[in-house]
Amino acid sequence: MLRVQGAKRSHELSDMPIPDRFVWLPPEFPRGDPFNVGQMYRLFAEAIRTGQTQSRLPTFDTAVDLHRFLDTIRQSSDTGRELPVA
Amino acid sequence: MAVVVRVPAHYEPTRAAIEAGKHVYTEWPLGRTTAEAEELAALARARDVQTACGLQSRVSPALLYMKEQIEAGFVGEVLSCHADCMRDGALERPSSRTWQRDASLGANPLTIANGHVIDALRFVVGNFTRVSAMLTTQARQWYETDTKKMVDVTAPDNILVSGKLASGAVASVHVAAVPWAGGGIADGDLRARRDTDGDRQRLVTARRDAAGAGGEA
Repeated sequence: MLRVQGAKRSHELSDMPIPDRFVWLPPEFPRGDPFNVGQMYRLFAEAIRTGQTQSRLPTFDTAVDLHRFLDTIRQSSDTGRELPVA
Repeated sequence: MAVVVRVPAHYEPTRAAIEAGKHVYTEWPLGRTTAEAEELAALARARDVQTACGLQSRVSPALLYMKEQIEAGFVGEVLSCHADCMRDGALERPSSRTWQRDASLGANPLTIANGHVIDALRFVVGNFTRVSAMLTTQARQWYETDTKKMVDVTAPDNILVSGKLASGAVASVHVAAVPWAGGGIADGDLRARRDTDGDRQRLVTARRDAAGAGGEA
């Protein structure tokens, strides 16, 4: 699991506990690598149950946007030019 | 339906699911190419099914919290940010696992490791408006352990991206699969790091507690 650290008006980074409101899984769900995928399935189930697109759930449209961005990255490397991102 | 097979095989079962009117969750990358992904997204919209694609950084509690804090002004105006992830890149694999060397199959460090890392950065800090990149293949051959042959690699294993974000911040990203880079047990891995972090009001997600892979943003 990632942990978040921050510093404000200080040179010392300290841990910032992650609020429970971002955790949508039961406490017995394994922490570690499967956790975020569990979060995904939770939102996907919600989308199916309600018939409503969940604003926090990455969809195929999110994926298309990233595919296009990776194409721009590839194109920049191939041409050696800095490019605008559509 | 969930599509969790190899990337080049995502398209067929995903399309079949949508055509059968099923809601579908497909792992990232959605398609082998952008064209495949666009076709699937358009089809899902036309058939009015729910979709999900496994870009799970966007539901990470740590990254959701970071995004919220940045939007709430924790660091003030974001001027500059960086993300990197340097992982072990295998030089030897069984022939069942060497297909990823083919860039055209769309499952390599550019699309997978970099896809996830750069998506996390875009999610937390915002989208790029200008970008400049260098993609290279540093390990140009792999050894197939069962056939005992060297095979050529066309997929990039080092992805260096710099750019400007919509917010005006600048960003740099380096994602790499490098032989012997894993977990701080590398042969010939040197690091220099300051004892104290001199940056003021910096917000970072720290490295994973156990693994050596970086996860800073």
